Amino acid sequence: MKNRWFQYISILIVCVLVGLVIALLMKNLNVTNLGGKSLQELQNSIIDYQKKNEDLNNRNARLYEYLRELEAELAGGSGESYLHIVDEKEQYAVFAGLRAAQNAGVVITLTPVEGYRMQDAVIRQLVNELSALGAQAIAINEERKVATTEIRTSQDLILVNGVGFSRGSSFEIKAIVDPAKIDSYVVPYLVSVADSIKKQLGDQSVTITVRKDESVLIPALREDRIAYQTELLKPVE
Amino acid sequence: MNRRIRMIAALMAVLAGISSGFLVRQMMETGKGEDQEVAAIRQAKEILTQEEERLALLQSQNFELEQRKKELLRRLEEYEDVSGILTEMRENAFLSAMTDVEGSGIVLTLDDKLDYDPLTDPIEAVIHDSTINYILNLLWAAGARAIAFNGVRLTAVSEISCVGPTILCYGIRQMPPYVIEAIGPGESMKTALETDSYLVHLIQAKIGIRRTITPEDELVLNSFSRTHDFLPYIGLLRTP
Repeated sequence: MKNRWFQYISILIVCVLVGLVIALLMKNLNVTNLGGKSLQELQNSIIDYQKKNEDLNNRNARLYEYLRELEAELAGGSGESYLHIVDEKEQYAVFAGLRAAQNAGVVITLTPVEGYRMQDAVIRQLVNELSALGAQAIAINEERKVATTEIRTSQDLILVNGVGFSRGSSFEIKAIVDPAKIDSYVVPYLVSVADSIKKQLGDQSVTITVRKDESVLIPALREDRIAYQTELLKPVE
Repeated sequence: MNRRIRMIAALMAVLAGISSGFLVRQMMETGKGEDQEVAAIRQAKEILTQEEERLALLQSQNFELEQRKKELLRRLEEYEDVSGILTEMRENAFLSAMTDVEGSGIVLTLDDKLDYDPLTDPIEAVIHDSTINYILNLLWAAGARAIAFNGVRLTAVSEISCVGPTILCYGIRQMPPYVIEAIGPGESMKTALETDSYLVHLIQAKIGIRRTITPEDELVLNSFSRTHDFLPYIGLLRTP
């Protein structure tokens, strides 16, 4: 009987020790009490907020200067605010793609093999890659890419800004990108994307060439394009 | 003592051990100060809160400055003959997504598959930048006139890309659910989204992308300037 009780007590002591070890090995619960985000996630969020704040701070600083000029003008000033308005008008036009632009960049040429019909997805993929690479102006067959630009197939045509281009003909995509990155990163990366597209589509599809151009000219959006139709939008007063 | 009682006793003993363990740990930590990781997380949270507060302040300042600018330009118009140039400037601002706009349209929300498991679920069960770009193209083609992605207005230079599984919009990380607000012909945009074969494929149960489309009579999309400075996006462009 005594031996049996000794066995029970020994088992209980072992169980208590097991529990003790489990508790000491467990990760500190306080970490999960702090919102459930890991340190890395928090640091990423901080970087994102810092970027946003820096951006907005710069914009506000310029707005503040502008307002001072306008106030000086209204108090009987020098006419400088007129020049500022002209500058601002032009900057918006450039940002909207309403002005032609020129600088170093890349030219991608897609030539379909005879009998092959170009896919809109291929053009979209390359345009999206260029946007992600920080291209500041893009044109597809001399059609300026703007906010509302669509690239889609409609039977035998690919439509860009509502203008149709034959799927059997060549397509040229031009873009202005950071000159410092063209040789070291942009061209090699685009060549790898082109290779991967060609692998997916097979040999009898399309040839893609990527080249650097020291002076790419990107045309302005033409005034008869659909982007100018804004009847469904109202500015908020 | 029967078997059941012995089991309960053993469990109670383990629990007693765990409790004692936490007690011991607590006492040890009180002595040596907080765990380094916990301290780092707490500090990061404090910095994040400060940055969030700073953003809210900057946004409110930006709103006030923009309002003041509008007012001063209106007053300037009364004194000087600048109405022509101002009209042009406003038109260009409007076309470049630098004006808050309103109109009817739709709100589309997209989310990854619930409880996505990378080991068993297909890769399409997570939303990628290519999916977002595909949908945006679909909406523009259906007649959208203005679009915001997670509250950021899209412009001629809409940078939507990814780093690993994270989608970036103008270099800022975006988290699901992704919200796309589009002003334009609501019915046409809704039909385009509902009938597109790729999107229909994504929302099947076996893929599991979650999607909702809500028509809105009055949508307001903020200007790009509410979230970003536009000048860095035109710095490389020279006049020919």
